[in-house]
Amino acid sequence: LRPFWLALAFSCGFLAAAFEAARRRLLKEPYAVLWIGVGLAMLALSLSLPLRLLDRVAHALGVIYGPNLLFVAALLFSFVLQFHLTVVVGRLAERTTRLAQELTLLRADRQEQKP
Amino acid sequence: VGERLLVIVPAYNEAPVIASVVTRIRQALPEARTLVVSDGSTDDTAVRARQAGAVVAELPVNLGIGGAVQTGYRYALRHGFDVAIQIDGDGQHDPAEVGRLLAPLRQGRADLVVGSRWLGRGEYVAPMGRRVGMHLLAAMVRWRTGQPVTDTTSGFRAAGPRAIRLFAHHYPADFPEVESLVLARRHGLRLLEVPVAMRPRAHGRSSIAGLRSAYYMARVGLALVVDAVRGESA
Repeated sequence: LRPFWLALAFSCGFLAAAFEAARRRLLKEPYAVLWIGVGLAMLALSLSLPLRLLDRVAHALGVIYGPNLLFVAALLFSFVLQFHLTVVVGRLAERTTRLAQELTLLRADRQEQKP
Repeated sequence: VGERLLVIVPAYNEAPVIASVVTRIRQALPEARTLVVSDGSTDDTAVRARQAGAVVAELPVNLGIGGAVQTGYRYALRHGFDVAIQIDGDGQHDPAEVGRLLAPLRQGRADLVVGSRWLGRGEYVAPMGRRVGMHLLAAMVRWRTGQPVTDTTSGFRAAGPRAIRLFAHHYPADFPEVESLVLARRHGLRLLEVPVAMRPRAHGRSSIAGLRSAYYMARVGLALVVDAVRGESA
């Protein structure tokens, strides 16, 4: 039964951390919801351990070893998330560039006006 | 003619040579305004350029050559310049050659004029590996523009009003020379190459050497392929 308690403890800890980060606004809006959702999913999964829910779903999908389903799902989730984040980083970089350029041009104009 | 000329000089830590570059530009083109874009330089580039009589735009962070040059084009657009000339801050482009770049613009034969080392003037000789790379780039640019361009990586250029407007809004960030040609062509701008003499750079060395050239080729090649896939939509 030890894995059950470990999983439960980790899920609760993660959920608490996500809540706290959201409360302190370390996590911004869409991502706060995302991580709290992930925390809730982990908690649900942990609580369902005694019901062997994961194994049943895995078998229903034709996956022989239950945890593999979990690994695949987690990996896909990470891929999609990282893809999304690189898109976001690119957009941020573009905005930073534009801001730096605008600031620079304003400063150059001011410099010219008071030689 | 009453046209207003801006010379854009992107410079990253070029303090040892920037004053002489600016001075030579001002001697060759007394009617032009010289804008040195210091790309987050950590040395005296900005101070020395200002002392030499340039207007200086100091980027607070290093944006890379593309971001720096685009700052210049945005300045040109905002202040209503008719022609923007790009001259590297390291002294390898001779401002006395600018007239050759300007002629086709003034005759209305082109929107973007590129100074080429390979069309006969000057004795610039590139090492073997670099020549291969340059031929490859030339082939790629020809594929995308349907036009032969010999010196695709030349940063010695003159841009007319249409090119200024385009580049103020869209300019590639990292290795912009090659991609900007394709970009210009795709937006219907007329490209023209003219022969110019270039000198060996006054100090420092090419930012693109050794393994980095392979990386450069891969990045530029990929950028052109992505551009091709993007097609006419952008």
